[in-house]
Amino acid sequence: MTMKVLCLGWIAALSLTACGSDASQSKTTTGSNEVKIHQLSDPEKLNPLTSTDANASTICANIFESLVTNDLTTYERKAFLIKALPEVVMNADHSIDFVMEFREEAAWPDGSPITGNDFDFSLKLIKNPFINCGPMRSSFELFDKVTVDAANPKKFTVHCDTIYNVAETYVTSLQMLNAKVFDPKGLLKNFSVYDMTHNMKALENSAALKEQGEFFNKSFNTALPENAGSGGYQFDKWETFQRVVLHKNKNWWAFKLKDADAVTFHANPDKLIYETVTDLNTAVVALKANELDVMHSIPNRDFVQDMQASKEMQDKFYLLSPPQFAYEHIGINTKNAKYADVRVRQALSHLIDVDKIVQVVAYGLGERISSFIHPLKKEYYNSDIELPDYNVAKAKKLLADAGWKDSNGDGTVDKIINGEKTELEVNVMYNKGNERRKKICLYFLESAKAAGVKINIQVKEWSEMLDAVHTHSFELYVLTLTSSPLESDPKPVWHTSEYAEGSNYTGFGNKESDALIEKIRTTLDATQRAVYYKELQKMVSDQVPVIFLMAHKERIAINKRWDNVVASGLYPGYDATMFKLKP
Amino acid sequence: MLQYILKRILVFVPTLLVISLLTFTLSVHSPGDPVEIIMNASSESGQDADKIAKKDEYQKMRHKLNLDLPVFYFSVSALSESDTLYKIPEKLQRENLARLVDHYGNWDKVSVYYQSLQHFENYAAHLKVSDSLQDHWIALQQITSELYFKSDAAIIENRLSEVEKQLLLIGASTGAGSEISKVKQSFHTMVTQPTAWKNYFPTVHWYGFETQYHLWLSKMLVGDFGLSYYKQQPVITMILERIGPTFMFSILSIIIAFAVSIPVGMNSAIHKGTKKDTFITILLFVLYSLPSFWIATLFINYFTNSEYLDWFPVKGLQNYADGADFVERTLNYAHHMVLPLFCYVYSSFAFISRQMRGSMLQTLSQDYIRTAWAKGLAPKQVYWKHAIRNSLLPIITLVASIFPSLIAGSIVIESLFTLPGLGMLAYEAEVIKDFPVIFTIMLLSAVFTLIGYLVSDILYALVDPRISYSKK
Repeated sequence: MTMKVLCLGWIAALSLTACGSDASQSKTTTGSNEVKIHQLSDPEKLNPLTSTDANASTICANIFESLVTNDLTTYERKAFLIKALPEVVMNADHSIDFVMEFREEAAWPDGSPITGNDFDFSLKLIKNPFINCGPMRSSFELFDKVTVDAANPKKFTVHCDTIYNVAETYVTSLQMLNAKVFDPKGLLKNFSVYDMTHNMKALENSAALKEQGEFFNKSFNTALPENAGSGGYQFDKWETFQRVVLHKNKNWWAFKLKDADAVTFHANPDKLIYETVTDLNTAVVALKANELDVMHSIPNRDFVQDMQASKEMQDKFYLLSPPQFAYEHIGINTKNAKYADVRVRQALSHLIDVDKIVQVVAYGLGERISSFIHPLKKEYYNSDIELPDYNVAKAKKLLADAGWKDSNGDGTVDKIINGEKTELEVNVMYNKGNERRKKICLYFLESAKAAGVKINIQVKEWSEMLDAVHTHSFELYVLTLTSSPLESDPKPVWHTSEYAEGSNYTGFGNKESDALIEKIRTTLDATQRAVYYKELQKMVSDQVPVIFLMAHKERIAINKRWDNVVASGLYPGYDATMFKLKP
Repeated sequence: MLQYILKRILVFVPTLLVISLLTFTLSVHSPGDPVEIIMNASSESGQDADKIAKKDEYQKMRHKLNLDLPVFYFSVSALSESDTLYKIPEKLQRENLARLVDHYGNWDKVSVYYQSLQHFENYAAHLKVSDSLQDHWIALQQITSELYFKSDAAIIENRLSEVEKQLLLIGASTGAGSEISKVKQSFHTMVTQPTAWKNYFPTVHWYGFETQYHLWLSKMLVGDFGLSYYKQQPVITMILERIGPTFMFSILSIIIAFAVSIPVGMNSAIHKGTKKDTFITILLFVLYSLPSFWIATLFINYFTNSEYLDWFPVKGLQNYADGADFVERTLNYAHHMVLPLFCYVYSSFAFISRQMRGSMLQTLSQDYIRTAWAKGLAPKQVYWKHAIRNSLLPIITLVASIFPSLIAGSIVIESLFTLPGLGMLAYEAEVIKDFPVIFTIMLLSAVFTLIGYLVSDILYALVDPRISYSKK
């Protein structure tokens, strides 16, 4: 009897909830002009300066606007908040001025115009030492003066104290923040960008800066007021660990533009809803059940075998695999005596079947690369560099030429180094939990055997691996480094001065490569810079400090109820603001 | 009884202090650098000004988090260890110095070596070298920089020889030779005059009250649990946001588990050895043996999927429209909770009902039950009036273990169904080493465990009049 009551009670509860709350209520309805986008976790916070994670940046990019935007497919920079790309003026003292003018229509949601003073304020915010945006602040150290045209406040000049190839990218990427919201007391008014750059020691105890900084740090983490940014969307609500909702900014200044479509100004969906789903399997089910419109970073296997191979999925979703500007590689410690001879490094590069890895490990969702520049960045990519082939015979010869022979018949080649017989046992390190890198190491292990090279696989915790890499206490590692479709600086990874504390983990470089890097950084002419870039890539290729494996491809599924869907190499790989509901 | 409860509550204070101390110690010794977590200093430009600014920012943040202070009021360490090592700002250098002290047991000599290395590095950076010899100068600087992270004598010796070799190739002045000789000399002294015995003699250093632990504890005592490293939000706000759903699931699952398991266990005991008993036993053990992640995945794949049965939402706690009334909201919540709640609760059916069954069987064999039967009482009266009270005693012990789960939640279920609970918050905090969040959740768990034990003691007394905590 008791059991019957219990069973009936349970069934009744299920029926009540299943009937009482329509199952489809939480699903995306065909007619809804709201895009539900998957995110694996909540954003860290929504503060545009102090947040550092990719989710927050993606969400904030809809609320806050930069001076320029990048074309989704060509990656060309296009003027956005400003009328035209900056006019660059070279000064005699090797400094640069960027002269810019905001569009006439550019305005905050309350209708007040965006002017040079807003740029000045946004830069001062970053320079306030009490605001927790250390990494970003250091990138803007170069910009020490903003001059607003007295006659035309929309026009302004930014002074950069040195010639630097990335300076324009930095200055035009600055997002505009509304002073009325972020500094309602006007505490930054009495400070200048110049003082905040050059006389900071004297200002470090300023009560006004401290008050403003603390107000900024604590006030804009989980919600943003309507007037905070000038973008096409405004913050609506954040339900912790559930979703972040943005709604269309009805007063967006770009709606008044006649050429809006031509300059990629979009705010088509009524709402952008960033749905948190922490488990990838659950997210795939949610996608199929129409609870999500967009899912990215789908596991390769699921994307290829469950989605691309399914007619039903193809009918229902756009399955996009745009390029990712990041390269997976095997780094070699060139300072280690075993790998000091370039022939050994070359031999290792012939002992890994990268084509097979791309096909089997990445399920074909990768592109072989020969350089740290992505092939899509055609103007810089050195297409003359040959991809090393999987060639055991060539590897054996290179090793033999370098003096490595199997003198004791144990199957592993050896050599006398510093008076001691050293077997060519190669320790390859990857981070625990990364199955892809584990498979890469296993393939390497198998293929290297044939040339008498013994691979020892080392699995490390992520922080442990980073420590080992930073202190050069490794032989080989497998890692992915991000590159960029935008202008970037090769110095942190390839300059010799970055060996001690930077990201030149492999010890690559000499005076020639350093000189070339300096030329790249100080040449503003893109054509000339391309020549230097190609030379640097050739040097890296010749020295083999790393074995380039592949540039990955994104895996995105977007519900076909949307139109105007464009895949892009720019993160996150699509622009949801462009989506148009199919009739 | 009241006196007993007050005494127990007083004991909570030192217990919690010890727990806080253990938690704090663990966090200090776990890998990872909180400053790097906050700064997320992965992006970088190659500008010197940028690098200097970053170093400066790092130091400021370290100071802001009080990480440049001693950890505790005092330290009991080996005689060989330095009481000021925490002042070295670079984490990896600090760790290497600790390794050197561990090898050679002589902080004085290790610090002389470290200082000579710093001096030489600075000297080498300012060497004037002709253009043709630049590569050797680069190599010289790179090898020197590596020495900060090396503790193996053979490797250090090898690197120092390399440095000398590069100096020779550069044709550096005798000044440079003298500088590297100082490094070699200090290294030699460190290696040849080890005082390893000092590693076996303890010493106590007193730091006063300006310590990381003291500052943390003082704030915590006034209810300030600090800011999350990652989100920069008050920890207590983050916990309050998550504690509601976790409590709701825990309390509901406890009620359902006991409400189902006690009658099932009794029923099983009453019908011992029958087919019904066997069936219930097998069914419950099968359920018990199924892992919750698997059941949750099956539910998600088959009960939320338009390809099979699209009965329930895939994820989350609610998704009602703005302006929904109370009934709609309640039903929306209930609809979202059905599947996760089942995953929370099903495995405890077997456990609790088996306890209940065993306890009931023991009680039914007692003399007073036989007397009850002999008196001609109805089965209902025998089971529900006379037997159940004593049978419940072992079940009460389970209550103590349930309280910590009130806030622990279930990481797996919360993750699979994307539920905003404390389990996921704790897990995320662990992954990113957000220590203020970890501390607070651990302390809350400790408080709930202590409360659990207290409640179970009180329940014992309430259920069994023979148990009393008063002095007679």
